[in-house]
Amino acid sequence: MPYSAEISRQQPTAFLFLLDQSASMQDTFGGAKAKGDAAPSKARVLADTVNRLLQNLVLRCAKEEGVRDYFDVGIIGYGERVQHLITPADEYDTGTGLIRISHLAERPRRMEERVKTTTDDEGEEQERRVKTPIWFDPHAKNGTPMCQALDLAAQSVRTWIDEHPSSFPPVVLNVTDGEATDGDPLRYAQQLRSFATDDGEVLLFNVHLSESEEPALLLPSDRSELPHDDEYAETLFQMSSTLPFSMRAAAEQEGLHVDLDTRGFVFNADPVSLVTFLEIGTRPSTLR
Amino acid sequence: MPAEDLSNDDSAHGPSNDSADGDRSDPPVDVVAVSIPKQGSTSDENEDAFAVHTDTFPIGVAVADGATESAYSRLWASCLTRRMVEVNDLTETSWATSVDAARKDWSAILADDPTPVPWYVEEKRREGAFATCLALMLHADGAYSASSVGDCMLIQERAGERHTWPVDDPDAFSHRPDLLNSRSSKASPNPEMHHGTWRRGDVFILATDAVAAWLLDASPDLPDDPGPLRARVAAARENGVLRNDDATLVRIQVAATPS
Repeated sequence: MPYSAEISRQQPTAFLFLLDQSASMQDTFGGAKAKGDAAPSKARVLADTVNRLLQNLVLRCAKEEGVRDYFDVGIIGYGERVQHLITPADEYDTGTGLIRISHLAERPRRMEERVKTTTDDEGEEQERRVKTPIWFDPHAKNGTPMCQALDLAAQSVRTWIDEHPSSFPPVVLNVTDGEATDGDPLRYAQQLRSFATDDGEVLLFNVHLSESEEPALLLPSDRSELPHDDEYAETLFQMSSTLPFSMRAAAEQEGLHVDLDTRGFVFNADPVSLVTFLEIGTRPSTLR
Repeated sequence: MPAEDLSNDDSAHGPSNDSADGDRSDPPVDVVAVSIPKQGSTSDENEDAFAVHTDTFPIGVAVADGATESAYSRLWASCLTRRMVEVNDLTETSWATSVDAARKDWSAILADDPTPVPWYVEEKRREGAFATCLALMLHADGAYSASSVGDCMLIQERAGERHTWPVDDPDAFSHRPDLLNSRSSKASPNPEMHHGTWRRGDVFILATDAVAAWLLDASPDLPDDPGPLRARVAAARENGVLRNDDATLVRIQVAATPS
């Protein structure tokens, strides 16, 4: 059965995030202005969300003796430039643009103190200041070179797969708020998804951040669920892989309806559905 | 800490205390235990634990399975099993008391460690460790009690018949089990309780989830001696019928006749 390879230190998997850094990411999520909220920009929400997600990925691998290398992780930003946003120290450079999670854990850009609600030993909630790692900051400028980002991702995962031919295949999560300004991304997406390990093809999931007040469309299974006559939604739907078993199970735990045709795709995502989806999309098979 | 005959090492054989006249104040049981880490891990990384008390009635046996995605899980599983076998009866109240005592043990051991830790270990300590746990207690009057949170399994065998508790479906193990947290008693799952009777010749088996799924699916005959038992478990994993996970099995045989 594909997408069932166990994830171990001998056989890690990889997560690669593609993050839109175009000028429109300076805007707030749909509806925020109309409501008069002093809302943060999409770029700010995305940076906070991904920093928190990276922290959670590290924590899933963290044991008392250190961080186990169950995952390799990469982030490609696309806007003014198309580039890897996290780079390893020379001695840890795997040549893929992806870095080991233990190395990521040791290399946040800085630690910030944040107020967090936690539960004490007696089960009581309390606010406390906790040290929070920050790996990258928001950035928003120029167009949306999504095709170049998908192409750079393809180079990364192809090299990674050569080194990990039996692993659970890399999961690529693309978060964008606009249409590609450098060509037809479907062709690049198909190229990216054509690479495979023995366990299955590369998984590509897409999250479209909302500019409207329409409700989020989370994990559609069929074109008929998409907004009518929206070519952009259609393209992103076609670019997206179907969810493997472990992620369907994670989606069901979030109370979402899924079936065998469910795509890893969110249209008109608000901040909550962005977090929900990234949590589901980073749940490959069990860690061993 | 309780007087105990056995606790975690890779495999162990506890000598029976057969009584000359079958007096149940001197438990006539033979205990064999096997606990092996998942393939690719060292025995220090085995996050299963077990503890056995067979010196006097009530006989107490417990297994626990620490969660891979938490830190200090092995320590937590060990604290739980040690506390579970030192009570005189298994009730919802005694279970809660044992879990609370184990939480204090776990926290005290970490508090005594002066080593500065990186941000992710600090956070994991705050989150606490997670584990499933199952305990069995055999009383001198022929009654037994069992308590469980999660997907460890108890088997009782008598004259070729086998009863399993609390799970009887090998496919049930793919779901996320209930877990006990080492930090917080808030939202701590209540144990499932089970009561029955034992007779001479009965065999009880306690197993963590991967072994339990294999036992339910394949119903293998299990050797009495630790060496062959360990080899059988290892072979099942090698053949792909026992999934790669920490694997723990404790077998308790009540002597068929007084010696």
